[in-house]
Amino acid sequence: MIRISARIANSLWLPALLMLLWLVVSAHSSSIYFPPLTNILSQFRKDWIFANIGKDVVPSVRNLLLGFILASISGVVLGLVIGLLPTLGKAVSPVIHFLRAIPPPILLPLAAVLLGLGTSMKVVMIAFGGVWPTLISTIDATLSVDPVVLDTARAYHIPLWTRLRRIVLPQASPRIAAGLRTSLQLCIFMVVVSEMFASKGGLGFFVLDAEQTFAIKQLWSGILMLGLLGIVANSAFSFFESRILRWYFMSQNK
Amino acid sequence: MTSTDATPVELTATDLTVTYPSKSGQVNVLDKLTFEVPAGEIVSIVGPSGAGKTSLLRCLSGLMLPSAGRVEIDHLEIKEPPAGLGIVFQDYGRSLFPWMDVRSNVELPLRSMGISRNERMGLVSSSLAEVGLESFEALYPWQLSGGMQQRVAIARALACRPKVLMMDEPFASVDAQTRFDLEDLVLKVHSTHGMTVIVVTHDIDESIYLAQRVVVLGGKPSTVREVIRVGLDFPREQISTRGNPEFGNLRAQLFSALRR
Ligand SMILES: Nc1ncnc2c1ncn2[C@@H]1O[C@H](COP(=O)(O)OP(=O)(O)OP(=O)(O)O)[C@@H](O)[C@H]1O
Ligand SMILES: [Mg+2]
Repeated sequence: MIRISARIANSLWLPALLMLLWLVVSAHSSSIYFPPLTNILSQFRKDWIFANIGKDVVPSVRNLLLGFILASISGVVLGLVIGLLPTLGKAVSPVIHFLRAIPPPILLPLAAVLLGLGTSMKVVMIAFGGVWPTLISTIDATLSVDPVVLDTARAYHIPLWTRLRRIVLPQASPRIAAGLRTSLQLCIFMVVVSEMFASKGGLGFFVLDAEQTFAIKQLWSGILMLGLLGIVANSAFSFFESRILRWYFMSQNK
Repeated sequence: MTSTDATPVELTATDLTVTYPSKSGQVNVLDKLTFEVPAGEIVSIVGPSGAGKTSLLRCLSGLMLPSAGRVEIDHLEIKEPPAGLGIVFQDYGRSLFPWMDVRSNVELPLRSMGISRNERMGLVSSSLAEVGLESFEALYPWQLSGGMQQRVAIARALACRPKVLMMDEPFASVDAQTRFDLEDLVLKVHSTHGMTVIVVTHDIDESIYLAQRVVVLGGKPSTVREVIRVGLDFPREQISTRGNPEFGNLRAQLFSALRR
């Protein structure tokens, strides 16, 4: 218990200090763009406890989850297949690099024409924007599976499916996880962007709307909420990662 | 030999040649190796580092096709790893799976052999007991010392009741005392199960101590310099066997074969 609190204290003192600094410096601010933090916080309470949660936070979180899951599954599955079939990989690689080079927000209008303005379009765009780091790190990790490991699997006649599930995938998993973490970041970005385009709810919409109606305090409270969402998403990711890859972290720093 | 053990097999290499592509065309690593490994014998293959020992073992185990020549098991040419192969790699840190505990590591090859769960459990337990690790089955490989990890690799091979056990410099990276213990473990396993055993090593003394026959590799590219019969009695014992004058003679003979 004491150790956990010490760890939290260790990693939180700087953010706390910065918040305090913000609080003090902004206390008597009369700038319309930088209102006092106390005002922002009371606005935050008004906005998020719990008035707009249902309208703006829930759809964003749901879209993030769906988009990230879609990105993860397609990235890992495609990555494994491409990584295991080097000839396919050579052919597919330029296509991947072309698609990845397109800034995904540019595709929103096209996606809207093809898929409409609903949730499915947003989820697909979030996944499209976020999939690349997972796909690329899965391909790399699969290509660089240790040859001794593959020799072991072949010598003992481990069938293909078992080989994939119990050998290739676990060995690739630390690098896949690193890709997933970057993908998560991109998915959050895409959640906001997709809600800024012809949308009627969500955090992106909330911030854009605040900006357009010159509601500066709301703008700040929306930004804080987004930051908070990012932190929660990342912590949740770390939580699962440290459990699933326990063997990896423990074998690394024994 | 116990009743569940598979019949040992005979291996032959004929004109086995391995060349790898290199910057300047081709590099010839093994040149027309011909030798045989009689069923149920322990044969060691000794050669200096870089002589192509791992390449040779990969050919003998069917993991790699030779560039020329052939490998036969009981007179049938092999093109892929044969059934009944047990293998222990040079680098235990890379061939055991760190995401599985010891039990699952040993059990994995059995899962695809169509044997019942109960029987699998029995094989895993008895193999771990044979290598002295029965109380470590719930640990992970990285929680064990190098010597213990190599024991796990041996247990994994034993659990399959192999007809032939191949080991690539299995004890090169453990301390001397552990090495002696592991050498005696191999001899014990061989006398219990009677399978054919091929041990690759760069250590002359080890090649004599373990084997009934030593294949000496040397030169660039490597060729078979000599095949030496080791007449030392079984069971062998670290101190008396190594102190036997015959052991000294064999060592001198091997040494000059390697130097030539
Ligand atoms: N896949 C490969 N491609 C090209 N060259 C290779 C390959 N594998 C091995 N070699 C080369 O062949 C030679 C023999 O390698 P090998 O690993 O078989 O020798 P070794 O006797 O096992 O060496 P060590 O004592 O270091 O284990 C080395 O010069 C090595 O660089
Ligand atoms: Mg080697």
